[in-house]
Amino acid sequence: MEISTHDFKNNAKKALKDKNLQIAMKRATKTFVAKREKAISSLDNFEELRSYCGAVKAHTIEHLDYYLEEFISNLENLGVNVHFAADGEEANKIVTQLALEKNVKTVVKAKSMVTEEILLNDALEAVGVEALETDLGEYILQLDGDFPSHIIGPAMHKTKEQITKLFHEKLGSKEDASIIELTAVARKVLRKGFLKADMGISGANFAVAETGSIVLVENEGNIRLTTSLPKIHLTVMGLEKIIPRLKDLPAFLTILPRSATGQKASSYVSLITGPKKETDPDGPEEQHVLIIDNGRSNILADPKLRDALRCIRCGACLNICPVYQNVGGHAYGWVYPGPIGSVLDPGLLGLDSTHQLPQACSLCGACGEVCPVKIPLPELLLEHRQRAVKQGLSAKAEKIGIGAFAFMATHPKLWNSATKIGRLGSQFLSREGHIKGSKIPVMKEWLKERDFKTPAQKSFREQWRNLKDEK
Amino acid sequence: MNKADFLDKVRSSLHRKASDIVAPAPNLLATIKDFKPSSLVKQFQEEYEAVGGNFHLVKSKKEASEKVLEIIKDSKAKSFVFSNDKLIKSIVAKIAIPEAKIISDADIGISSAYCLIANTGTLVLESSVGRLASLLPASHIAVVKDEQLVPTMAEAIEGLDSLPSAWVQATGPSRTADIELTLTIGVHAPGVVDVIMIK
Amino acid sequence: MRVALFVTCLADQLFPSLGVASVKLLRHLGVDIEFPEGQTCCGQPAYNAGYLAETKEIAEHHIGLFKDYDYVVLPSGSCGAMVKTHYPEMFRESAKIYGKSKDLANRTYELTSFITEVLDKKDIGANLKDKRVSYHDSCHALRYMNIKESPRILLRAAGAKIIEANNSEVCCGFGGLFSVKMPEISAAMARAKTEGVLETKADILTSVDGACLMNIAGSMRRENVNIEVKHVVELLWEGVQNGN
Ligand code: SF4
Repeated sequence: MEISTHDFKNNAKKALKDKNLQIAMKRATKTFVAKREKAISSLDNFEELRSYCGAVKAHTIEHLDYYLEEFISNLENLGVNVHFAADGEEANKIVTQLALEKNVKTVVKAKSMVTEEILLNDALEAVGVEALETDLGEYILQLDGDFPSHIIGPAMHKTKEQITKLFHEKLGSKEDASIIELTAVARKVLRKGFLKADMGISGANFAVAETGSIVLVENEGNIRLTTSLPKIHLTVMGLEKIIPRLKDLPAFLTILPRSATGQKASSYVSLITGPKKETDPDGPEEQHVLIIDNGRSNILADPKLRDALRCIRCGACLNICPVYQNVGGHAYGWVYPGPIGSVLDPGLLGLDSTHQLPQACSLCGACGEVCPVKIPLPELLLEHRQRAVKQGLSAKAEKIGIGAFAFMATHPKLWNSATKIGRLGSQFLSREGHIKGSKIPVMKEWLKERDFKTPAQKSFREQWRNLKDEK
Repeated sequence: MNKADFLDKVRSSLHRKASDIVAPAPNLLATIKDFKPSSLVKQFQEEYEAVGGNFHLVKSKKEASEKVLEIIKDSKAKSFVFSNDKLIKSIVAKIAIPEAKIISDADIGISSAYCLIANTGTLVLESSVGRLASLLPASHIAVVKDEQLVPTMAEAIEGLDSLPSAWVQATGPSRTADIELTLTIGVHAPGVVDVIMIK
Repeated sequence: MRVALFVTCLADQLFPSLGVASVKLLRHLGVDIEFPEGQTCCGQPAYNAGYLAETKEIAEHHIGLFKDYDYVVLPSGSCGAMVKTHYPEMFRESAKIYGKSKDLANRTYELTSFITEVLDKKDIGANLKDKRVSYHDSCHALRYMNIKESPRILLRAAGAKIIEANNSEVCCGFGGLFSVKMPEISAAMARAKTEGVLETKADILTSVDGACLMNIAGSMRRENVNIEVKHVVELLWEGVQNGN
């Protein structure tokens, strides 16, 4: 996918006109939100667990050097090969070299956002290694040459009608196949891939420092297959995935599925601790872990933004966000959409090309309220806005306008006369008690899809003069 | 990048030195309060059935074998794969069902479990008895004992001195909601799951 | 007890009838309300756009102006959230102003919660019998000021029938400058809001925030939707005039 974070506004306008997208988004986000609410309310102490998980993550991030080191040395003791990459390019080089060295022809992949971030599939294909996405949503996207629009429901921007058509064209399934039939077709095709693959690549939901375990959460079973069948298993993970202890995990596994899909528990949670043991009947002989920075240490070095690294990618902030609900994930122009994307993307890609994202928000506060690790998302969005202003990225007219506004707001006399002129002026543009078309910048934008009532002739402060004595 | 450089980068981002003292991690403020310790069997059953699993309570190993046979008959399955442990060996020895030559051809997998988590209706499967019997076939039957039940995951991991290479918590059948969030059962792993609990 | 009205710049300039209703309703309840004339705006537009320095100037003006009142009452949750939450946040690092901002925050009340919490009244002698009302939980009132019950308590006590929309807690799309920076998204959100309101079959849509109502009403008019949209303070004052 080409990064188009700089073009959010245009992307969004297109998205609003895309009928299929609008249908799919309304269906999906409504379901997500309702399911989450139900799952949360069935738990007595969600708020307590939320505070705990937020605190554990915050603590881990503050001491990330320590826990990373502990995690790495535990991996090494388990006989895992650990690799490190500063950026996507280096990461791709490591993976492709490993694949070529081990004579890998086919890779099965379990859903992983970080591999989307670094475009790993393209890199593998470029050296002649087939990379097969095995998560149903990801598989649909791969078939269609499309990319994810949601961090846990990657294909949620598509309607079932679109997917039926896609499968019919690419896989020869029935023209009117049901969702069950589509799923069965995918199972059959992908099972062949699993059985022939030489390497499985997964991401990681959590990495337990104390034990060197990789924790993977899923519903389909494709991650279990990816980590069990091929003789080599590679985990690609961002450096922020660490939690300190095994005993921290139950709380995270309680809030994650409830926040993400509204389940009490996901169908499968796998804790992978080292490669197959000698006495194990099956499992991968070799395990590799690739830890990626790719901009994360910049966020880490930024005490105000650091909180964003707590994210456990549940997607709840996307689902609840009314902007996301309306425009979908692609409009944001990169792998991480919605509120957390608007916070992370500027940190990972720089504000220059992403400063429209933190503006794509009415500051309604809903995201901050649902986040299971209590990331203060609205505050961080505002922080980005303030930085954009400081870095001179905001529109000139806006800067002048706000400056003048602030000056008047601190000089009441001037405020009174200026607002009076404004109100009088508006009377001239009025028809039937509403402002008719206008060329004045702010008003023009407002009037695009909405009406504006003509302000009353007399302001409140003018009316107060009579009101005062009325008592 | 090598390990030392990578860790250095992280350390310098945090403005820390390797020798800096690490504050203790927060202690668990709360337990997960959604279990009813009085009746773990009942809670497990409720949760397991709620996610689409079939639950059977039996009184002896013999009854368990009979239950397996009953499920197999209803399913018309022809070939089987078993986990590598005593309990399952003794259960299937009684009913003589054929083991598949190629595991991936098996219709039903029969396995034990390491333990069971009541509050979520979860089976804990571990790799020392094999991963594939509970994973590859379209159906999975687990034969377990009621004494293996624990209230929540916290108790399941309590006192473990080492983890197996794979510790899998399986809750109900394989499912997806990737197409319009419509729940569909049985994607990559078993779509039909049965627990036979010996009391 | 000295009580000041902070009418908010939008009500002052665009819908002054809300200010008038606020004064009359409070007087009806025995409050001798004052209107400090040097008031302008709380600074939220600048704050939300990321202009911190400018916002601080406005905030200091506002804090100074209202320093001598026991209570500052305003018919808005959004401007209330600005004063109660964001002022202290903004001045976290400047000890002297922080104290003053915190003090003002403690004395600032949204009007309906002033009635239920400070005046401790539910029945204010308003008659809204048989009116079918849907209440929009404006974001800042709900999430930053915890206002959910106060307006409902007063409406219910007046005999109104409240019909909850399933999206009553979803943003209407206003968001200050957001509404003109991203007008298409903002308007789409307003239309979604209207859909939820239409499902309730209510006759009146109300809220504690006039800005949201201006946005929703503007969208409804463009879409030819006919539902009365009225600020809760004006609605309650109308009820008082109707008598018991
Ligand atoms: S920011 Fe919070 S709510 Fe959003 S995806 Fe991350 S953990 Fe979930």
